[in-house]
Amino acid sequence: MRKISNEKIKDLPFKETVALIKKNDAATLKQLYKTNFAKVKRYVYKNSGDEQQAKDVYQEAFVAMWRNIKDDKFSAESETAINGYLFQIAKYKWLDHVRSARYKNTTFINRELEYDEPEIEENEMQNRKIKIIMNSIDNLGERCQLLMKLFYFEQKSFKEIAEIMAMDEASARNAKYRCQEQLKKMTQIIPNGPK
Amino acid sequence: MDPNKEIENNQETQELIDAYLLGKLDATALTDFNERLSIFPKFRAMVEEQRLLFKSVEEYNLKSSLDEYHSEIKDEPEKKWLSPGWLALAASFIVLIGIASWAIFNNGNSPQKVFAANFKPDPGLPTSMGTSSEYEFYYGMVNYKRKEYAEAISRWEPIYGANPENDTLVYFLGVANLANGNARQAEKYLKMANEKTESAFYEDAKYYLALSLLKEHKIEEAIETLSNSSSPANTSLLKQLKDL
Repeated sequence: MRKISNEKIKDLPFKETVALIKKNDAATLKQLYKTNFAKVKRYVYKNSGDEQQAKDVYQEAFVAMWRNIKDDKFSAESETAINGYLFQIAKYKWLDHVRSARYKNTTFINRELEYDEPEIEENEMQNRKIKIIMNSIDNLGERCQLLMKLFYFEQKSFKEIAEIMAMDEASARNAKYRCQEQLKKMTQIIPNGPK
Repeated sequence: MDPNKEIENNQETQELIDAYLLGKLDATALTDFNERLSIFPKFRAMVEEQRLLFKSVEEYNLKSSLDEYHSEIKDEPEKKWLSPGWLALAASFIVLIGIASWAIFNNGNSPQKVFAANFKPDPGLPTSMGTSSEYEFYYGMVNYKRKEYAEAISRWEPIYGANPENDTLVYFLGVANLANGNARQAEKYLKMANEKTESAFYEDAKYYLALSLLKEHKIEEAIETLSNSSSPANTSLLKQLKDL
């Protein structure tokens, strides 16, 4: 089964890959994730990092890549370009980490670390708000979490959500509305939260 | 829709904004929507708030998925695919496939026919939610019933990791794998299901286990699996296997 999805991705025109990433297609994201880790890991290892650090920096880079593709901040012409872009972000993030205070006194062999800084536009204000909302999602009930996930992340229709959650469509609609209102309230009572 | 009407913060508005954010508005509705956006700063703020919430839910769930993706990366030493060893292995596979297909095509009565005549996936369970931790299982069941076996398996496998003793789960993982063409995985799960003698799926598990073994050409073992069974389906399959 996995083989089929690999081939599916390989054969897809690049534009469709981007469209699938934007729709959070699980098979596409997973494939992209699995394809590029080894290279990042090698790089981090070579530059005085370990497995856990490689994983952390890679996941951070993966989210940044995904966000920029969604926001149309990265326009590439090929699948290889996405892979390259992901690697560049990870590399940049790792070097940033390495140069931070904790690592200042560490000697490393590879002194000549040249790199092109990839364009990672990050809107600090927005990121802060997103962080606050994500903390609130953590405190949301399991049912609401699933509803929000199905609607916004998997982008299912209410009909499908109703089927998955064994309820009728109107109830799914109402429940999603209520969950969302609840989430909004939770983020608003936090000082300096959104709004 | 009248763009001049002030907008209330209610379910209808929330759904309208969702449709906009998901790109589901048609041309007319979109024009109206944009007009409202330009007229009402309050509406603009509502849209922005919802956009941010949308983004946050997405990012939250993406981040939660990453560790699962990561767990599927196997820690393998790097392979040199074109080394003589690999070529030899590939060559021996080709020879093996040749021998196997020769054997299959020369055998008039075929296990394939028996398999095809007898394999029909279990219709599945009705999706009714019990406790909330069962969501993922039933979500997979919806996939299963739609014949999206790969999806069903990928939803169920993590649950199996946490509940390896659940007889319903191993049974359906087995049948889904068989339906998905992976008899070896099917055999693994169904053997576990076959050990649960108290399970409601006990007889059915035997049936599908025998079919998995048949698919792998382990006919003797398939016969052995069914030999102590009394259900009509199992008896009938056993007879067909013995005739092979």
